[in-house]
Amino acid sequence: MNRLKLIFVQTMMISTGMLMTLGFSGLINHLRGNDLKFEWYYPMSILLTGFLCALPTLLFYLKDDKEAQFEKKMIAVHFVLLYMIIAASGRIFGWYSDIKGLVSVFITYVIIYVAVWSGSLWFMKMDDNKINEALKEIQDKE
Amino acid sequence: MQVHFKKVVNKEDECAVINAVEKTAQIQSAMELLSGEKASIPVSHNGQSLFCNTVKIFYIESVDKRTFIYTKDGCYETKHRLYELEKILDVYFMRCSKSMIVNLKKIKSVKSELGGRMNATMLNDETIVISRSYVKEMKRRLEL
Repeated sequence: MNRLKLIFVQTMMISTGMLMTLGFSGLINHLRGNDLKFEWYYPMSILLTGFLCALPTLLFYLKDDKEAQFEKKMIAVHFVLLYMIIAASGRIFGWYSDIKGLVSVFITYVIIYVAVWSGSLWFMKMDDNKINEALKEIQDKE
Repeated sequence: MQVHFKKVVNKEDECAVINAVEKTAQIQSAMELLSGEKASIPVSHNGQSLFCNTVKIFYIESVDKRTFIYTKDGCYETKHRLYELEKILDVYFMRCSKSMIVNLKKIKSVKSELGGRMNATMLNDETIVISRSYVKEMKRRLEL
């Protein structure tokens, strides 16, 4: 159940990040006089890509007691896997047509990747604070 | 919760009644404290047989089918298995991994790691790992 919740939350966060990026790039393009072409299937393709990108998160759940070195490797694998999914989705859904477009997708991806991790770390920190407050209440005096 | 104290003359008349909606961890702990049921565990240290008061325990670890009890500055061996100790100890003692039981009252702070596990810093600055699968149980015991 926890994993399903994690996948759902990650899907929503990634999809929201992608929609926000699309929204901002649309606005910038409009202000520069070039309107963005928005296809009917874009929202669904973003949601589907968001879901596919959430799946590699399960990599972090492979081993319960893992070392820091293993975790770093997982982050690197996660980063590459996600970019492969984004690049493939972009190719299938026509988000880019040339190398310039692929580079632009990569930059967008890095921004979203950092934003999603920052969001996740913020939630973790909030959770830690709650637990630490509760622990303080029962803590023994040494 | 309101707390009342009523003085009685005889020792035999001493009695504590707790009226509560449910028996929470705090109430259970208060009951154990009032009834004087704070347990001690038979342990051995350098060939000597001793009793270790549970309030002194930081964590208990099982290594190669042997069980070790860690206090602030000592390590003792007990013949009890972890699953047996879980039954004896109060609600603030919980499994934090397959081979360890931790005393929540001795944790100074926790920090989440990416994989869902947590690093807990004990009051003596030792660090232990709370496995992902036990984090939920810890929150439940802390009533979060």
